[in-house]
Amino acid sequence: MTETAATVPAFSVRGLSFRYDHAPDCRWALRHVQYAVEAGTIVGIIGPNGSGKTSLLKLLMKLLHPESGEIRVFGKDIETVSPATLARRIAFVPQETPQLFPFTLGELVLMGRFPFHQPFAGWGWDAADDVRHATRAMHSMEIASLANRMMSDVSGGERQRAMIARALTQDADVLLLDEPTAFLDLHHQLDIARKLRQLNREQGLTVVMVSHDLNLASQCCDQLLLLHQGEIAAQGHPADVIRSDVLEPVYRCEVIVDQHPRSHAPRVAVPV
Amino acid sequence: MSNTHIPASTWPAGTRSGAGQSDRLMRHLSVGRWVIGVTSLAMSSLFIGVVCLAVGAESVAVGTILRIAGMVLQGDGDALESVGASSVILLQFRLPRLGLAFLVGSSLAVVGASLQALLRNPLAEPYVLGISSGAAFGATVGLLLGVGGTVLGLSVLPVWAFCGGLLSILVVYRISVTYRMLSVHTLLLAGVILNALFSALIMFVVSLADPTQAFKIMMWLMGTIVAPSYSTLLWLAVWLGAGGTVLFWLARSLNVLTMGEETSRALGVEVERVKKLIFVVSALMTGAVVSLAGLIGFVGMVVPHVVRMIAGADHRLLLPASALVGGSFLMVADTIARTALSPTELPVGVVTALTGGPVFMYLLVKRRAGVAV
Repeated sequence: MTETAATVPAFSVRGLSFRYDHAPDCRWALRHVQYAVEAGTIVGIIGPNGSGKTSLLKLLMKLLHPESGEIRVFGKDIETVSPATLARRIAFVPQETPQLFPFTLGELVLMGRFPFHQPFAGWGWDAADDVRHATRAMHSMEIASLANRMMSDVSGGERQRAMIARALTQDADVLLLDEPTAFLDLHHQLDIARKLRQLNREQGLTVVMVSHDLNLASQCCDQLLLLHQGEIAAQGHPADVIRSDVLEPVYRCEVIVDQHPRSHAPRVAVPV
Repeated sequence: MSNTHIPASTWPAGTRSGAGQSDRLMRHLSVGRWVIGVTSLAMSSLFIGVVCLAVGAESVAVGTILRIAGMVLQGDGDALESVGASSVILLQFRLPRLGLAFLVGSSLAVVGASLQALLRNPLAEPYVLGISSGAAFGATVGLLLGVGGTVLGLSVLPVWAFCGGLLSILVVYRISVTYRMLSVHTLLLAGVILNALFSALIMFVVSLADPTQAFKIMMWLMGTIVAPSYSTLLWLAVWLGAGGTVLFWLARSLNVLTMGEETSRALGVEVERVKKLIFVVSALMTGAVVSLAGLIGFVGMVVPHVVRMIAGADHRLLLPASALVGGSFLMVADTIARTALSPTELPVGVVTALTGGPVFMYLLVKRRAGVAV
């Protein structure tokens, strides 16, 4: 991490409002959002469907543009940063990637080096350095032995690891993930969560992830951001957010919160 | 500020020891693999070209072809005359025709491969999407208005074809913008509708023409390669070569684009710019091809598909390889069209449709529902 990265927040969001349509009657997807993501932390964005989680993530990645307010990335206005420059600081792991063409897992991971080949982004060879970065990232995600397998032939968990490996290959300081465990079974959910925490602890990677899994978020994140109808309903340490009096009005159901027997993080149960 | 490379020592223990080994194990597109692939394909294209030159109503021995080639390269006109009819057949008919077939086939294949990546649809190609018929409509209108005169020769006809092609590409573009995750079949359906629409318009325009002209237009529409003049060939080669170079230049962006637009933008691809560039270049190349050779279908879909199975999906190799294989494929198809029912000639579009159509159906049936995003 650079010195600035340690002191300046990875993201600072001020007065952020966004909607998908400028029509006056259009609902706000996000309204007056004010938040800072400290560098080196794991932040979980939680909330019900349609609360603006994914919109916020996409705004942070400049995939969407705010209607008002500003987003600063390591102190710089995001609107002034070029896509390639942004990609060298922030890596995005989408929920799912279509596998329509026969790329190998290694080729996919190597694509993470794309932002480093500007302005000759189109042509050119993968330098030894690129291959080294990709190999390291695959080792880190423990998928190096699958490098030559077709992406369509690997399991869902391995595919998700490959997507994270590609993000690591970008050499970014921040990892943005959109429901990284959505389609995975328990074993693979745990596996991805542990990997993310390991990367955070050992390499100081800042992680921002959208998650529907409150228990996973509670155990895995340093900070939680609870969104409700486009506004921040609660924020702070998991113990301050994962509380029945906070969650019940947002999720509109009875929420029982106790303590996880092992991690002592707050644990959520919903009686049917 | 951005290159905050994490020193190797901070990586998890145990990861560094194995790194050197899998550097060697990981398959990726190296310069060597690219050179070997492209060179061997270029050699086989040359070989196929020579064989196609030899075959015909008047077969010419390969030895004679090589001798004539030597004479041409030395600029020895007198020696050429001594060879007699063979040199006329070869140099005035078969060679320019073969050259045109190669250029048309390679352009269609490269445009097809690029559109497939851009639209994330392995079945996309100019003919199926209705871009070719849009170009044909433009060219037909141009023909009948008497602007451009002949189908062959330097003319403004390609401009008409380009406008028609661009028109249909705009429709395809609108559809691809409206639906963010476009299903494979929606886009094909749009192509079917565009094709029907433009066919009707072409029929309407043709019915206004006199019968002789109408027949010529119908033959051209079926996809016919006729020996062009060398100046036309040269003009076309420069035109298509320029377009192809632009697409090759974007190869890496195309790789990333197959992963979806959001992922591409997140990786630093200037998506809108790349998209517009590819659409315009595709329309320009398709326009040039259609104005000279009419509607030739399925080359742009089948060729990249086959090449991908052998050479992988990386567009840095896929595009040049598709150009060579597509060119060879159309040289063979045109030789079949020329000789199968000799002395009658088939339109080459009939040959490509008869071979490509079944492959297209097979691919459509084979696609697993889950893969077709």
